[in-house]
Amino acid sequence: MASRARRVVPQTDQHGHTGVVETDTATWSPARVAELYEIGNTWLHRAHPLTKLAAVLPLSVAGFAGDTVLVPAIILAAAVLTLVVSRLGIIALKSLRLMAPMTFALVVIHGIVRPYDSEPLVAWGPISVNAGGLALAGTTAARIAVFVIAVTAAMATVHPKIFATALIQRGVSHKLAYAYLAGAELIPEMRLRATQILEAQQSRGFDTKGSLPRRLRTLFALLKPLLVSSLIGVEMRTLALESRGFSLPGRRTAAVAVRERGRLLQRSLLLASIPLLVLAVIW
Amino acid sequence: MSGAGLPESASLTASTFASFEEFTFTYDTASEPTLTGLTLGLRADQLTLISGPSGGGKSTLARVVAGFIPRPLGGSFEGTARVLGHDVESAPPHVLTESVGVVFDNPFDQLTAATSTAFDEVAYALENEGLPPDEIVARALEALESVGLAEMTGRHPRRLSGGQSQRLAIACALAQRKPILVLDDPTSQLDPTGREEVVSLVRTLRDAGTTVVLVAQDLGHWLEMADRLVILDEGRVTADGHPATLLTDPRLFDGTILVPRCVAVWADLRRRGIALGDTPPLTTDQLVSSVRNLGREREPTP
Ligand SMILES: Nc1ncnc2c1ncn2[C@@H]1O[C@H](COP(=O)(O)OP(=O)(O)O)[C@@H](O)[C@H]1O
Ligand SMILES: [Mg+2]
Repeated sequence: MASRARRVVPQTDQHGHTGVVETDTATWSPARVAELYEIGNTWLHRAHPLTKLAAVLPLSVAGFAGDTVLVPAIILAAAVLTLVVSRLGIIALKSLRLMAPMTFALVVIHGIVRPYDSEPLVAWGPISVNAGGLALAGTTAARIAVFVIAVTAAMATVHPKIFATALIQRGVSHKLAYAYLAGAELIPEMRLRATQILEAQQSRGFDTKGSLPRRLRTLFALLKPLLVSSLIGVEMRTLALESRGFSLPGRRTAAVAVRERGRLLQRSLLLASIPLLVLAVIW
Repeated sequence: MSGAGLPESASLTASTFASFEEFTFTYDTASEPTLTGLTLGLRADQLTLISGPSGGGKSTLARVVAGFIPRPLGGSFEGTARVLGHDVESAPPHVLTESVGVVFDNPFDQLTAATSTAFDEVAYALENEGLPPDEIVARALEALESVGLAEMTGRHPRRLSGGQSQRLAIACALAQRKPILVLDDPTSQLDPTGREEVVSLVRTLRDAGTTVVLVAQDLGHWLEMADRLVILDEGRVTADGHPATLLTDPRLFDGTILVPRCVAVWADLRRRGIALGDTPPLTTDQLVSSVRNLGREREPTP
């Protein structure tokens, strides 16, 4: 048993992993673990989860310096470069995917729809593209992108379980940590349930291809069982948690403890936000 | 049929860990009571087997013993139910779950939905107990191994088959090492091999002194190790006693319980005038040996 234990339990100082990670990807794929998490062992994975989280604040605040796209664009470029060099380009791509719809909306609202004083760049009848509006849209999008890429990089390089452990070790309530973990599992879980219900309905002759109205009907037929199974799930989940000592009083531990470090760095990062905030306001 | 064993159960002895007095329970969402006038005492040093037709209230009784009724599962009740000296009405939520481990009837319902590996699922309860990391890892792996899931430790709990989920649920309860285990049909999803494994696991636990309350529709594998059999039908205890004594009652053969083959054969032969002893065999081995004995008794005749 000892050798097996060593095989499945990684070293405790590898914060990129949870208690047990099987290396056999035929039976276990990281994509199933959590939507965002990228399995790996880069310097970013090894950094303390709360250090990464603390870095989000000064970075995001710094993005507001100046009136133009310049500062956020520089931060963004540096962030993307760092990620690519660290072989974490996938995180930049994920952030881009998250940002794309919002950027599009910003460009439409500020660049085209909203009227500006300046001369339009192009104009087709009532539609005109406005330089000032485009610049504002670009700056806003870049600022949001700095925040998104920072959060994505912080959260995609830590297994949710390790993040929750780090929080609990710093005195955050284990109930809150549970909510975070359950949230990380929610989308995959809902998707799995939906697939199961859909398969069941297909076998009973529901149409999942076909015309749009037909597919809409299938969608509504899916929603009810999904809702009902989720609601029943909640009652049973309470029992399941209770049977695992959820409401036991006292301290929580973790199968894989997160090594306590970086407190000073984390505080410094948070404190650094103050001068940056001042800079952003006056510049 | 209630004459079978009421006196024994009603008396509250020192080793009775759960006692019900005229306990009637109705779920908030139900119109009819699920348990009706239940008077029963469960002994700490025994393996109590609870059986009966589906919908008879077995799972509900298990939930009372596990400390889930009347909270968090709501409902109204009359009479009293005491578990480990606590009135279930006033017991704080964790006092019973601290001593009673439980395996639900539906293993998929037992997941925390907040873990991404079978290992984390088992470890969760131990983390809540505040055990040191080394002990958590050792206990969780041992529990997973004992239910045959050693190769599945890194598998996502939702990706397990029904049988594997059931094993995982058992592992979760085992790892907590509670003195009392409530197992609600723990083999319902298992294939014959898996069932054999769980049966021998429960036997080991019982031999090691764990108090077991076991709900089972199919009595086959459990009779031989059960100290007591309680039949619940429509929320009432209709029979209660040692399996060997209880199963001599022909009224039990009317379809309320799944009578194991060895008992059925014994009863059938008895009806045809072939007596294989006063009490039914509880295993196929016992049946075979009593048939052999019968043969031996007859041999010297010519
Ligand atoms: N959570 C619940 N809420 C409402 N009614 C329930 C609930 N659980 C079980 N029941 C009802 O109680 C009765 C007995 O159920 P149960 O205890 O599960 O019986 P068994 O385990 O013997 O099949 C059934 O009629 C069932 O519909
Ligand atoms: Mg049941």
